[in-house]
Amino acid sequence: MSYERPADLARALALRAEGGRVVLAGGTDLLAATRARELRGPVLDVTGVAEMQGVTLSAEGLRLGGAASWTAVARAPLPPACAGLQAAARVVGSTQIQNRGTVAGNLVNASPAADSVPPLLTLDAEVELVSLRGTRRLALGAFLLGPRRTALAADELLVAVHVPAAALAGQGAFEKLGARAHLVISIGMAAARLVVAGGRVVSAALAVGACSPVAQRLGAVEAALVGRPLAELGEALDPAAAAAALSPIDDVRADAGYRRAVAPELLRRALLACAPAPETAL
Amino acid sequence: MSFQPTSFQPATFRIDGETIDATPRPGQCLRTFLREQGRFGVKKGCDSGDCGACTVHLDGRPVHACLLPAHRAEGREVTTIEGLSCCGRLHPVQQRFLDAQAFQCGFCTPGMVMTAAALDPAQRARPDRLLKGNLCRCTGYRAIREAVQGEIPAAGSRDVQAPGGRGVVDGTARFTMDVAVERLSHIKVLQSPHASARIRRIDVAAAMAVPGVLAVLTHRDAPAACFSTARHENPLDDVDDTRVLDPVIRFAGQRVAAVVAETEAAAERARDLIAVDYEILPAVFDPEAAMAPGAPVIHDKPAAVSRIADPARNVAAEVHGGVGDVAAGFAEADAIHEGVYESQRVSHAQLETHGAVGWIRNGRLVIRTSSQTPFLTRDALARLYDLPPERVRVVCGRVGGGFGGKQEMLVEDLVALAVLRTGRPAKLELTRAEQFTMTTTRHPMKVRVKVGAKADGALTAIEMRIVADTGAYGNHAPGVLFHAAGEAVALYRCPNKKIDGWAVYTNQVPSGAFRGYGLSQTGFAVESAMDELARRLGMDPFAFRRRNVVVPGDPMVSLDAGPHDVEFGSYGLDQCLDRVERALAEDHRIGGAPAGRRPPVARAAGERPGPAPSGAAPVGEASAGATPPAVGGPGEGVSGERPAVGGAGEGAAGDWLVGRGMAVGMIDTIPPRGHVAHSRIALDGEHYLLTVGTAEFGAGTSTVHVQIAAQALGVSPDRIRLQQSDTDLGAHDTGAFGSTGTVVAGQATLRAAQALADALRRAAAERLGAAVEECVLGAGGVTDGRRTVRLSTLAGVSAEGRADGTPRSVAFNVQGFVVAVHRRYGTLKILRSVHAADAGFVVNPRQCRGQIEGGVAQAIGAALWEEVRLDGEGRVETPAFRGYRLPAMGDLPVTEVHFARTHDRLGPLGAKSMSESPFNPVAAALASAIRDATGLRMTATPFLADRIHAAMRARAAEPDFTQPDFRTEETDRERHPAGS
Repeated sequence: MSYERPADLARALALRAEGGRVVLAGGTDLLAATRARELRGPVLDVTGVAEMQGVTLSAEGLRLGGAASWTAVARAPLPPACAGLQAAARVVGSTQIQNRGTVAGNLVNASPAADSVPPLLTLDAEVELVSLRGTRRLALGAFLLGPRRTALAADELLVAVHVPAAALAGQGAFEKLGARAHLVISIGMAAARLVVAGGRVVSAALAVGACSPVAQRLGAVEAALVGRPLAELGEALDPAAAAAALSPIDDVRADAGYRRAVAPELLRRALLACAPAPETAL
Repeated sequence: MSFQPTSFQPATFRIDGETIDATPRPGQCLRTFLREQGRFGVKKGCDSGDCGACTVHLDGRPVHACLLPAHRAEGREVTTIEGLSCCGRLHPVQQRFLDAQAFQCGFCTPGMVMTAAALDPAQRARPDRLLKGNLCRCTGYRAIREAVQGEIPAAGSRDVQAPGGRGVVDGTARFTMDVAVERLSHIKVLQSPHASARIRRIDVAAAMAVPGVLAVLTHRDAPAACFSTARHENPLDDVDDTRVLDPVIRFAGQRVAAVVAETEAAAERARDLIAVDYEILPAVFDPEAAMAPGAPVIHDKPAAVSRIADPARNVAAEVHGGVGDVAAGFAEADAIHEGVYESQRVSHAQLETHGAVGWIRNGRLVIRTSSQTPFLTRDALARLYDLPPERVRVVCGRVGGGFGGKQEMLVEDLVALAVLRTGRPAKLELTRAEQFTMTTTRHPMKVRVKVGAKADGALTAIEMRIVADTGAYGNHAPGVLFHAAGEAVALYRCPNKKIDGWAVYTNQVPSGAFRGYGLSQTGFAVESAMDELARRLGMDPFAFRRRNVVVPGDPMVSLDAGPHDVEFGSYGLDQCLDRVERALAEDHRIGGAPAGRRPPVARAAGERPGPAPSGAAPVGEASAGATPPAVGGPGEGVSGERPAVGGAGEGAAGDWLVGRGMAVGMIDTIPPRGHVAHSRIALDGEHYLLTVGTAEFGAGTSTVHVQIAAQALGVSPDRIRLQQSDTDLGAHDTGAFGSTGTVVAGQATLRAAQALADALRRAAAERLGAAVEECVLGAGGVTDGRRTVRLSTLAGVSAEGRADGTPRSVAFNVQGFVVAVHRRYGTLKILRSVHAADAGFVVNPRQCRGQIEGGVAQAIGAALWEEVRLDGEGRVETPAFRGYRLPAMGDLPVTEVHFARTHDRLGPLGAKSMSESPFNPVAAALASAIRDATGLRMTATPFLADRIHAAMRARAAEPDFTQPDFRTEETDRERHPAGS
């Protein structure tokens, strides 16, 4: 049988261990990339696996099942820290893509322009990788090795994405710059999560996508924000430091110089969008 | 013998309420599976989840059928467009699409309707983001948005619905590929990976051994004769440089061989097993380099036979001409502007790709194809395969978009070869990637323009040097170059003109006919140059145009002074200029623009006229446009950014620079050198049967033909039945290109209908013993006032009409924009888009408005985002809509459309053409608006954010992005407009 859609993880892992099957979730990247308009060879369709379903909040944090669609993520009642992730879920692709595509697939596909990555980085997300050999968890930053390269082993499935409870504090935001208003692959994007107390920054998480081979957190820039008063947030962000942390390339969507110039601005906007900001009202 | 899939998984599917047992292939997508079940309403536009034409509901939710494995639909409820209507009644969304005429070619409509039908009422009210996954290339989306929202303007008396509209919205309209043909075989093409090569050897043994393969066709199987894929009334107008399959490869993507097999999968497997030994040859990618001595010769063919202008210099075609003495003209000029303006390669991106199905019936070759020129394609196939024309039939289904790209024979020749070789029905349907790499694009052009004028604004000289890149083949190169050298310059009254142009071969994907036919590129150059010259003279651009454009009585001169068969059959340019000028002056309508305060729109005192006097009489018909786009409307690429809100302490007011721009276009209403149309109309019971040869691909000419016939025959349009685009029906028709569907074919229809009306009146007069003059033809029959001869008793009477496309008139377009450019991102937002058109008498205002909106939309895409990019080796880097940015609903402004009030004495019912020309002034109008806003003149399309940004960076004295201050002296002045 060439098309398998197992209902449980044990069966899925057994099929995965046999090798030779292409793993299919939403199919929005995989089928789009086939010249033949259909997948050749055996398919392992993981969308029926019970253990990979759902978007769930618990005391441990947030769990996104490996088969959870963008639409499911966008519609789930999640804390404000996840606002950036949910914003990304609403801007990624079209309605039809959101209905089929999965966050886990976006990670495994490992495009430098993957919309889910910067917000998940600011949420300290981990991926749960399971095989017949066992289960391991990797920080998202360690899972993504480069463009189209991940740490996923040939017998593993990405069963879930986890956000620890501690990272669900504060307010998140996401800014994306494409060539047009809608349905475009990002030229650049930024995500931020800000925890504030007493009018000052307690902690900040910043990430930029599509401006380096793998989206990345900007630790030094974040550290410089801690303790700063909210009113100074816009100035507190050091654009030179942010730009220095990136290594954008020229591609069909824009040139590197443009990315280097706009990335700090995107970050600044994401950051400001996280701040409780009554003073910005006109 | 039939070829069987290797794996079976019998399964049960619920499709449109029916239970179906079927066996999809393991990795097969739902789209192809549904079409195999006869659900032809599910369209293929891209097969990669970008265009939405294949959208179906899976358990009520819209999904791309092209991205969903068919197996995953097992046990789920699948609804297609054809299952959406129930018991003969349209779904409310379908009904609204019909009422709003929310389609042109109709190919995107099933997907649009399916996505819209899944929205709840609140979502329907704001559809832009939710419909971003459904692309339409024809309409510009305004009518679609209104249909989704359910806010449909009332139809006027002439806004007759398109014939076949119901089939478009309920999914039963049959496009080219929507036929089930028994024993159909499938063609797949092997394309060259190299830009320049010679085939030393092709080994097809492994391919032939694949089960199900019927034939592998190579250059050894192809006719030796060269032809042009371009189609014109006179085949001698084009260069014969193309073979069906050629051992010499001239671009990456060129056909190398074709496999004919029982299934697409077998054809693809076999294609990948063809072994080709290439001798790589030097390639040239730049037209200037290609003309230089020592460049590789791309077509080593005798000029006399091929009609290539200068094969040794890679010049496919050239034009040289002018009047007066430009050197003297520039010597007397008080101001001169000279600039080089570049237009890029863009794709027609019709949602229906090229494709054809062929078979043999009763000893005749039948080709069903997606073509703008069925008759000319029939003639070309007959010549190519040495068949008598009567043994070839070419017929079109509904054609899913053309834009000039289907004024070519790009697939039919290969399908015919396969059918003739195997005797089997055969199909070739290009994939979207093949469409990008194997068909044609707009001609990239580099246009140097030099213009000079006296201090009072009078032009003294225009000089233009055009270098057009025709790519590897010269299809349409002479025609496009000739036209490019035409109306853009002929628009201006100027004693001294000089034009030189070359269309040059390079080893790149061929250029071809594209909406505007060269004028969008030279129009961008000339109109941008005129704007610069006007600025240099301190003149308002409208005033500068009024000073210099041709008016009735002036000769229309570009390459020579004539005589020509072009006349001012009517003239409405003055009205168009007035209307757009007045609209742009209404700055209150964009109050509160991006910066969240009154934008700096007025130029320095004296440079721009004030608003039109309040007592001015309205010009033209009532505005067809709805309200202008809301502030914060489309065009901006920053998610969630509300332009009116400035971040904390950010000084957002300074982030947006606002400017205005305009440009003018003129177009001959008919192509030169002959364009023939025949129509026949016969009384058929209570109906009239109208037969026209011209093809319909969304422009709405079918409706116009029905209206013209109905008016002449004194009946309502529903009494006219139309058949078209079939070489077995009706006499020769040159085809639907050069905006001729209304003015040439419509003229033939008018003449046929008038002749039939006369014949009916004569017949009735004879029967009644009355004078013909007393007899009046109406819906019930012919009456002499006392007695009536019923139509049913006159059955069998018919008449024909012919038009030959001369003399020709001119139509005009004026486009105005208000834009905002973001200082930090370089992104551009269109705040207002106004278009005034002189289309003569507008037969169907709603349709014509749609044509204009669609033309402006397509041109905005070409001016701002779209580009077929090639790598350094001539390979297309953007072979999918994911990388080739077609505008979506939320990207485009609503263009306000105004019609001049004119009546053309040459066109049928006073009409003029209006299908290509709205495209032409758009890029220059945008460039001039950007110039107005930023002080920067963008000289190459597309005006992508990073390019605008790079220009701003280059101009800024302080390169540090975080301290941006791009304000020039000029824009500073604009910030403090005198008198406000």
